Amino acid sequence: MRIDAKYYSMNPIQKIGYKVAIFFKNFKSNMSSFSSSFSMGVASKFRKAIDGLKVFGSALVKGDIFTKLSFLVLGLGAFKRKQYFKAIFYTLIEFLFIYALIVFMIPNISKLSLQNLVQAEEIYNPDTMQNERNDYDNTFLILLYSIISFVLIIAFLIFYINVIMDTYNSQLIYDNGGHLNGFKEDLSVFLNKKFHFTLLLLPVLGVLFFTIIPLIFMICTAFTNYDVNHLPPTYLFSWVGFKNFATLFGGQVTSNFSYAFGMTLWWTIVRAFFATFTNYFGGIFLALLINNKRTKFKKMRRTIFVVTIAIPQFVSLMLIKYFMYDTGILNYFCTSIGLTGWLQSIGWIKTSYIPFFSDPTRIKWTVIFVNMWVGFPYLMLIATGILMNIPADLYESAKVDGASKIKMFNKITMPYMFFVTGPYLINSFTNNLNNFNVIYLLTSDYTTTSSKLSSVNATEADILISRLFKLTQDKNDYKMASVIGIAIFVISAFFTLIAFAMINGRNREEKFQ
Amino acid sequence: MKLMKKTKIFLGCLAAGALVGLVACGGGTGGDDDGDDEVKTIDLTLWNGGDEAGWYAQQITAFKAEYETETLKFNITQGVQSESTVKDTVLTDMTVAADVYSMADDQVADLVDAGALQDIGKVDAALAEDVKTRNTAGSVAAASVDGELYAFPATASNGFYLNYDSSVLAKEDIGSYETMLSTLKTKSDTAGVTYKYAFQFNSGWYLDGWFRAAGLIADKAVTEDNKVYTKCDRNTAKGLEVAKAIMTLTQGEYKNYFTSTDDATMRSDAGRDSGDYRIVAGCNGTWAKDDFITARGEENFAATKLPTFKLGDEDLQERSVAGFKLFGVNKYSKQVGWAVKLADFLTTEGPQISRVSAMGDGPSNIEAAEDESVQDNVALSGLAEQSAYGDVQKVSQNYRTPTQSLAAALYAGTNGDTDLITSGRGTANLVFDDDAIQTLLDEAVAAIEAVVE
Repeated sequence: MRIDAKYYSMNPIQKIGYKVAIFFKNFKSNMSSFSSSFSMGVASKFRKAIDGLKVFGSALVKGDIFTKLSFLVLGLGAFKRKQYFKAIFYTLIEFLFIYALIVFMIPNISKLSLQNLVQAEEIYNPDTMQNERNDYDNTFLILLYSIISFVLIIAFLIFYINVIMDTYNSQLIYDNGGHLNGFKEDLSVFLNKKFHFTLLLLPVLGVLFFTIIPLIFMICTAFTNYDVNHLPPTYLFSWVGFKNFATLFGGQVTSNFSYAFGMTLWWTIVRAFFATFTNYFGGIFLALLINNKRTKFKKMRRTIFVVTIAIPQFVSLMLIKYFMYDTGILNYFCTSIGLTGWLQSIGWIKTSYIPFFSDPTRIKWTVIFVNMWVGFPYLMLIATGILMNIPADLYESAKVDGASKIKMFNKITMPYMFFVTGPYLINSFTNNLNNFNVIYLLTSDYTTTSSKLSSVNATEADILISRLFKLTQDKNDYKMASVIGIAIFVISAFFTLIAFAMINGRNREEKFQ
Repeated sequence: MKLMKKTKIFLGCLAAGALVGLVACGGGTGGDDDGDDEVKTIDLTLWNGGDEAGWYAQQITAFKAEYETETLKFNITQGVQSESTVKDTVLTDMTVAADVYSMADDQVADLVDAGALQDIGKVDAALAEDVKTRNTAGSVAAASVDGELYAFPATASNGFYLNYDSSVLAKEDIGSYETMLSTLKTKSDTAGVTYKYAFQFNSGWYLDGWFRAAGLIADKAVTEDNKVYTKCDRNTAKGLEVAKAIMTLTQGEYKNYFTSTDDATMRSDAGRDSGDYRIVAGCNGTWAKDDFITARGEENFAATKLPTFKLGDEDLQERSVAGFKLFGVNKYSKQVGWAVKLADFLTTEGPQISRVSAMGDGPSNIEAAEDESVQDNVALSGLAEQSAYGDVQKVSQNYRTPTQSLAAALYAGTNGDTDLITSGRGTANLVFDDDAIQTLLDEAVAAIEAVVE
């Protein structure tokens, strides 16, 4: 990004505006360069795959009879070339796969249309004193097992192609009288040349089974009617296409849902913005105050603030909530000193208490305020470290030049802070989009007076993630929760991409100079 | 069972796909069909609300004494699940939920809709008939859906009435809201502490009594195309009057003596000595009794029916929702027959009577209710007075949350940012914005009546 000379004379807000403008101005070229590098990457992978398939093809055409038969029984080629362990291993995997395909994968995948299924029915047998159930279908398991099946099929196909290529390569080496690896040598490869494979096997399997498969499952759920009225095992759910998305983004049937989504989305973003920036500047300000030469008992002051980190939020936020209740201590205090009465007299509140947690607008202010209290000690710690690292000679030379304190703060301290903590800032914004703790622990008792929101189990104080939690936990409405989950992903991705583009990760080192 | 088979196949496939380095962990399931001469152990899980472990332990011992033989043993495991939210846990995965669980009656509808509760009549039709005759009609209605019995009534004291401090309020003071609140006002002035009456307007449960007093309903119904909804007529002209009557009490001249708090706060505030106010009367149930007694002493604790309130020239008796605790049996229990027997055992006359002293619960069993211990119990006699004005709440799942909002709105006199009261808050001369209130009621009824998709 080329920066205009006038950029340096702008105030901070203008600078942000300028960068956003540049971002969108360059959006097209950035995107095209991104897509060209992306397509180049894809193309090279594709070429590799084509090369592989060529080997695969020539194995079929030029391979000897055993290699050709390997297409049916994977181990035959290896058997011919006296790699017996390999042969057994390949064949075993193949037969296990075929077995699993017949008894597990095909039965599940064939029902994946989720139509014409058998619902559970049971008859009580007085002799065994147990319920006897028919051979019913469980749509939850069908969907889950089908996804696992697809993953296994893809894994087997990759394995299959690799084995064929390996068999053909072995044939070429064998025919030319070259040396073929024995079983021990094959294994030792995984400790030497392919050690990365051995190391990564377990993590990759973990990610596959505990992240990717559940993720695919969740995405699929968004296209079904999986909710409290279609709960497996007793009842069946089915595919409904984009109906749930229509409901969320302005469908005719339950417009309250899209109304609530709009409100929640707006508040999610606003809250994340305030939470991030109040904490950021609050933390820096606090660090500056404590680091000031004239401040005494620095360590003690720091410790006091760090205590808020040490106490679990489950405890501290719960206490804060009771502290600020309509009938809580803070309200009692405000009444005693006459603050409540004064606020009533100027018409700011209508109640005989200050509704910190019982008014749709004020609850938002309270949440932002409490969030500052639990949030900025972290930033204070980070900022303290960074402030100590700013080279003192920068300040000295600035002083010699006659710069004021505010000028030094604007021109030295803040740029340095931004430079070091930029990525943290972005990270904390995305975190704040999904900051469940603060919202749920503080506002789960709040009752909205808006019937539009309450009809879909939402409140003004909900952010997307707390809404998702309530839908699954209280209403078993998995279908809408999944749609919201997808929305959260898209939104988080969008903001992260924009923010990363704005701080332009590359060449930052030189820029700071 | 197919599920087990599938699980085994699945584990097999995991082993096939991963082969190396993946540890497949499957729970071993012991076979029940051992030889005839061997000891057979029945495993049962029981979830209770966590209130009285001693009583449960006692009943389980008694159950074992009744049914255990040389060759039949029971292994009964207990767990704790809140009775008011147990359905959330059960519906997360009903195949692994407890065989028998205690629950509040409002949990039944959703559990039956989701197909999680065992129809008792299908296991033992005679027993179901017996349960229906030995318990009060209200409790049976709460445990039934479409005439079929889905749970065993255990208590009939889960409803609400008025708990109060008799050192501040005399029985004649609490006949009507107007006299009760004006008494609180006069006594507060002399005592120098604000005495308050508390009612939970932040809940979807308690509001019913105000509207039902005026004959306005909210009942589960079915549309022509067989979809469930809650039929509600609270946005009629009479509904508007009730709404205004509530706000006259909460926001009118007695505003400072009428408060809305959640249950926990109400209970802790009853014993608050310092501070500017004290809750001396509260609309809640037997569960709050002990807190009142601890705070004000046994001699100052009293209970009675809820007061009346003015609607136009009439004095209407505030009604309440009759509440019950029930034991449900999991349809997916592996020992459904024994689970039914256990639930039955826990809800017969004897255990229900012992529950009175152990947990302060009033019996649903007709004969147990005649017992002396019930008659002597202050809280239960208050509940009994109210029970003449109690209704069983049968609503769809779309009822509770909108009603909670409606209650909160009526207490505060606001609908979101719209003010329902034009002027005169805190005085006897409230001026209402009828259109705004009508809008609120219309919105609420629309949400309550929304069809369950």
